[in-house]
Amino acid sequence: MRIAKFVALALAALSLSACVSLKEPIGTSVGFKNDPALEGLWVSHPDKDNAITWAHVILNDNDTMTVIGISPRHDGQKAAWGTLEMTTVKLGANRYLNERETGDNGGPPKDASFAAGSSASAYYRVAGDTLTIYMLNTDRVAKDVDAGRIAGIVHRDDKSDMVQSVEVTADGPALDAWLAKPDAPKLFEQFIVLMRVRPDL
Amino acid sequence: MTRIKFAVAFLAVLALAGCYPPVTSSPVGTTAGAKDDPTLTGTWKGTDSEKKVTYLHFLPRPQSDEKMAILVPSGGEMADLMIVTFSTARFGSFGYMNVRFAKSDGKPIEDQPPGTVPVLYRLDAKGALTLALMDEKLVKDAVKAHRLKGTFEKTIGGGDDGDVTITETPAALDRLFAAPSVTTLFAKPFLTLHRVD
Repeated sequence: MRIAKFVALALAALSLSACVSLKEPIGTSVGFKNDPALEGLWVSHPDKDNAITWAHVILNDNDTMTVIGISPRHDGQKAAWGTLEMTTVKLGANRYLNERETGDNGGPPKDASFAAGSSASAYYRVAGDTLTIYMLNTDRVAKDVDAGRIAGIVHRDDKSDMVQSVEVTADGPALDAWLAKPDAPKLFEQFIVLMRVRPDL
Repeated sequence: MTRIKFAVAFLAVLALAGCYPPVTSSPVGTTAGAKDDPTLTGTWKGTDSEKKVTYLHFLPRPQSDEKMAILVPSGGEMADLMIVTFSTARFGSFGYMNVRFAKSDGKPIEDQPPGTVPVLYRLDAKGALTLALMDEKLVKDAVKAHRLKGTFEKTIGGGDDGDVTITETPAALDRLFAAPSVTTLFAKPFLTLHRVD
């Protein structure tokens, strides 16, 4: 499991639950296209353990987005900020994002896997001023791998046989075809909800 | 990947415009017991003179008395992103940020004049925070008339005279900037901010 050191941005925390790894980002077979609905400033709701997090999404010309995440000092935690590179793609009616940490507090990513260029992927929905991000559910993906609906390796605990992690080994076209299906969102579970900060308010 | 250009782009714009804000050779407040101003910490939304919305995040810097400000325009490009570091000196109802343009890691960018840019800030009763730079012409005129100690040097731009640096001693600088009358040397606020966190 990859653990992001970049605590400044809630999106980076996607990797915290990356018990499902993909061989490639989602959407490589059709090409990435920036989703303008994501542009702007988003904010997470703080809870007792985590500070509020601000996420600026900036659209670049080359169909990538840059995300600048900022967490103020909170309950003894240091203020932190960082950057992500993000791509988006629409497969069928489903929208997906891939994100890769590019900077941590002004320096390079501290996590070796991010430094090596690997990314985390998610399904997302924008409804009004709410952005909801969903992560692949390990057990649901394992069922699809076991059923031969997608190529992959399921890692189970030797004693309990519980699913620990899943490597989806399908190449880009197969991965995209799998996730373009109308019921593909059922493979995901809600991870985080962000609210848009409207500049006119 | 689009590279973050941070304040380098801002400096380039200043160079093209032939101007750089007046600087002081030492930060304001060093002899006046300058302290971190915690009222600034947090996230602010501002509107500039062109009605463009900008967000500012004021963050404390680890192991430093300085703060870092990250300016992100709404709907802008990465080249518009600006990062500065600053210390603060508060004199009653107003204060100054002693600003240096910085790279993403908080280290100063190389191609900027020495000294710090004094930015006048005020917080009004409704919580609005205004930021203003010194008026270049007024400062140059004051230096030429020997009302202020200063030098002119060609660095970023500065027109025919070059960029102006106020070179008063730290003690004299603090006496000068503690007086409300010095605020007449500042231009109108370039940004009015309201807290959003």
